[in-house]
Amino acid sequence: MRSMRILRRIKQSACCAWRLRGRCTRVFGTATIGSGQRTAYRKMRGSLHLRTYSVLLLFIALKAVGNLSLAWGMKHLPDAGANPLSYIRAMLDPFVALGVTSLVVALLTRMVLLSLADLSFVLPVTAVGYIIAAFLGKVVLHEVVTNRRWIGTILIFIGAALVSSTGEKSK
Amino acid sequence: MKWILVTLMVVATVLSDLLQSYEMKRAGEQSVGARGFLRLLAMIARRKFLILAILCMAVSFFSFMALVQTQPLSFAVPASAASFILETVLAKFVLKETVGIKRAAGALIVLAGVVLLGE
Repeated sequence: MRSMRILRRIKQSACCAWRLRGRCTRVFGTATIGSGQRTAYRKMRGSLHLRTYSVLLLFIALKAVGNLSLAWGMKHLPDAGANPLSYIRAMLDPFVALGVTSLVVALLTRMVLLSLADLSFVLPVTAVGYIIAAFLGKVVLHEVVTNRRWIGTILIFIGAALVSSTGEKSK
Repeated sequence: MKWILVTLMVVATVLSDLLQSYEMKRAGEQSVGARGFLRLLAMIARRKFLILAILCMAVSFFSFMALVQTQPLSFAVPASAASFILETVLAKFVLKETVGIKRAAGALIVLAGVVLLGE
């Protein structure tokens, strides 16, 4: 119950950040919908689906670009070893910086996404990121992805989707 | 070496999540807003476990950076899913939550996938 409340808070904060409070109360606070507003709400629902999927695509893209850029940048730097300072210094590299920024923006996008859709929808769908990472590794970074590794990646995708689709019960 | 980094990353991620969830529950509900956000920052500074959680997050991210430096991206990202296994095990044995069959099966499939990843 408490986690749902916290989730709600995150939803609300994400709404505030996007100055979409009016829209969000209509979606989440179903009790506040008057009968007059109901038709307007129904009309809006179509565009909301579009919005959810756009934000979903944006999140997956940001995450992929972030991982790729981070990997590219790190591979061209000298071995960082165990010293935490060398990782902070690594962030000055433009590719690493772009990667870290993309990942941070992806995190914020995910919060917005959670304001639009349930966690039990968001988590399984975004598990596709594992497959995208393997694909980008092969195509862009010219990594050797063996059949065994493809099967492993697909199993991880299926397993992650299974684990996360059983999460919270919605209300 | 790569398995040490994967383990470090996964343990740090899960530990960070656990510490956050534990400490935020103890702190009670937080309000979010201009003033609420400042209060949230003050609260974070006062709570030791939250600082520890943020440290764990940093450790987890740095080990991910080290992992992508030496290992292929097609290994590093899928391997991070191993956190699902540890989370499920902790949920069952430490938090004594009921773990459904779907969730247990999912964690096992992830485990099989991770084993296949590192040949």
